[in-house]
Amino acid sequence: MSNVSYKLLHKLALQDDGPSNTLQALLTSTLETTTADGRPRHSEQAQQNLIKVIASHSYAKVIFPLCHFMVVAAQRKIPLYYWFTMTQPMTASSLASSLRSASDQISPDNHTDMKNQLVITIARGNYTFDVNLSHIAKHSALFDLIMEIIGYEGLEILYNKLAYAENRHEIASVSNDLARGIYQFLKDHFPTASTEKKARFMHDFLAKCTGQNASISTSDINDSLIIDFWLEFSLDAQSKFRLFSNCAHSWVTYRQAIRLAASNRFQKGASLDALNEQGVAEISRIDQNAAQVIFDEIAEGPSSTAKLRQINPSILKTVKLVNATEFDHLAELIKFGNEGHTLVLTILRLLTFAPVQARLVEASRKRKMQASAMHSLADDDAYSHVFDHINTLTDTIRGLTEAAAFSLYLAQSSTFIYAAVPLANTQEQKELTNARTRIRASLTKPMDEIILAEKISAELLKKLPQIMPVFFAQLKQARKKYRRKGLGKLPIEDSNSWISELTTGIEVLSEMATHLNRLTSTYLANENPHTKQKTLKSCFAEDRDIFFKQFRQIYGQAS
Amino acid sequence: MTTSSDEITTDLDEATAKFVALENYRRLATSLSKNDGTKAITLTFQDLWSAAIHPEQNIDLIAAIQRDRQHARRFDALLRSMAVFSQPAQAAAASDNMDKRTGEQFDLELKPSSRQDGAYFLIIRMHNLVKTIPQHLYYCHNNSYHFLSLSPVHNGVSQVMVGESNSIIDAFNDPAAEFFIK
Repeated sequence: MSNVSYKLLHKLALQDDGPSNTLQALLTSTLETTTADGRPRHSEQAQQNLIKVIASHSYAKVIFPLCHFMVVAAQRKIPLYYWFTMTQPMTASSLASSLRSASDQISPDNHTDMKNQLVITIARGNYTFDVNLSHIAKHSALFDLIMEIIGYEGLEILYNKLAYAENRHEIASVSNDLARGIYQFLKDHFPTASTEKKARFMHDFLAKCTGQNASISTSDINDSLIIDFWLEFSLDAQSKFRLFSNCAHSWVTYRQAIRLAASNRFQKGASLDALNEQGVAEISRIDQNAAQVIFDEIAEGPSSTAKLRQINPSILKTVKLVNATEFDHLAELIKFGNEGHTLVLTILRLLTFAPVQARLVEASRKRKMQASAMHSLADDDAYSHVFDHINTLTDTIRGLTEAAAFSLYLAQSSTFIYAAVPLANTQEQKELTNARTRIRASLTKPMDEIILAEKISAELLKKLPQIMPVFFAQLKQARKKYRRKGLGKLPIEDSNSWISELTTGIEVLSEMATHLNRLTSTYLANENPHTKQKTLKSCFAEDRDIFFKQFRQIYGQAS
Repeated sequence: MTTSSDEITTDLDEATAKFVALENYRRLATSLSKNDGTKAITLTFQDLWSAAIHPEQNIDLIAAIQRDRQHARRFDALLRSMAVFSQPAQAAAASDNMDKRTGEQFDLELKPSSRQDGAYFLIIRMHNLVKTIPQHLYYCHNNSYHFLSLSPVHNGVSQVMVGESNSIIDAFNDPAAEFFIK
């Protein structure tokens, strides 16, 4: 891996237009709103849902049930401002209790039935609908954003209109008005044209490569497709694919999109079409049951990148695990997530040629030629060096994990047992399990489970050098080799934070090591001198010709 | 060089739509995580609410709200919906110097202090009782809102002393002005 300016690479990758300052400010203030006593007004899920709904332009589907909720609220004569000034966080139960107390004040309504605490059934003529308050609470942040976008005066007019809505059509009409308002606002404040253009290029290229096939597989997006695509699109100055790094990461995202589409985590139609004619028809089509399930997750749990952020040296307070350079290198590799092991050649290309391209871009921006940018890649073993670097990084990560585990041991922290023991070999883990069973059996009287667990942990920690001698020696050795700030001795103050950061650190580092290991082992498994598999050297030689030729076309002969 | 062990197939259009959603999601999440709060200051509903609930502590905020037509419109709607009692504009035939403004929900009476020290007493007579304790008399005059804190209400009557230069004197004498109690 060459001496890379990762900050430069990152800066270049962030060229896409993001949300406007106004939208950013509105989103931030919506997500950070608290109740009078300082609790977040919106649950974590509601906050996440807001971003997901905006990202997928699927707000129309959420607005429809929200309008039904407003029907119930407006008919109970609850002023609109009440919902935005609640003293409690916007949970399903706080919404229910607000509606209940409003019901107590007005005459009983024959058309309303609170089926259970959180579902309200309303009948309007022939139209019966359920309002699921859990669903409303999950989208409370969107409700706030709608109010900010439409404005109190505009929303109040619609709210008052909903108080007299007599049928589904009238509610759907208000819902469509709101959705249109949001659509207009986002068109100006979060333009997605460039992303859609990118998507169209990729879609058409895939259709061409797969013979106009309507279906697509993850395996269709491979190293050769990515390089072919880059060669075709990088010459276009307006293309968002001029940088190989942007191109590679976009295709990684596309692979993730395939998984997402296949897992059907998004409801059908949760696309950019939400507000065109088809989309409007879709809104009308939605019934209450379908509307209750929008989509759960846009990404599969906390991503590796998010996890890595937990050990960012600039965030950790009591201990430093990886240093800034190691962190940047890891971030670059982890960006590929679970797709990495199937795109090893793309990773090699990215880590080798993207820094060269970054220097060429920088030079062309400063209007000076950087003839040396490509000369630095004279070494035929560049790809092997990348592999060596990944291996060294993997060793460091593993060593730091063990050094952190030894720190936990020295602190005699019970978290050692669940955080560090998985690092030991199977045999020694078995020994530990046996020791645990023996300790448990030696107890003569019944004991509270929590106290029991603590007692067993303390005993195990005391006897660790005897129970797991190999593992113990390994940890001790790692502690000697990997010296980082905060590792090795108990801090004088804030030991709880220290233990917590170490525990999280061990988990994150272990996961990173597994990721890196998967990358290199996939390659090693495929590298067989008896097959026709290309060697790293020949791959690099071929790629160098390809990339340098393309760079010359993009940045001129002088490069 | 690379192999795929976890083959997954789906519809091309559907995957492309998900790609757009994922890219948008990341753009939003990245920009929010980088937002240090220094980029833009936007008045939100919470600001309007604070201004309406504690006007005496938010004089500058109210001025800022009223300088912007959009925020002023939102503030107007909020204040109107918060009103417990309202007194709309008076009939145009009212005289230049009224001493009483009557309404369906409350009356206002303006009396100069007997000490002739330039002070006035504004007497508010509410025709109905409310469950909540009225906090403010506020009025819309020349397209802007002004607030007066109410003294405790006894038998539906509250009295506030104001100076002769207080803007409520002009508003009181302007039939177009609207008064509210919250």
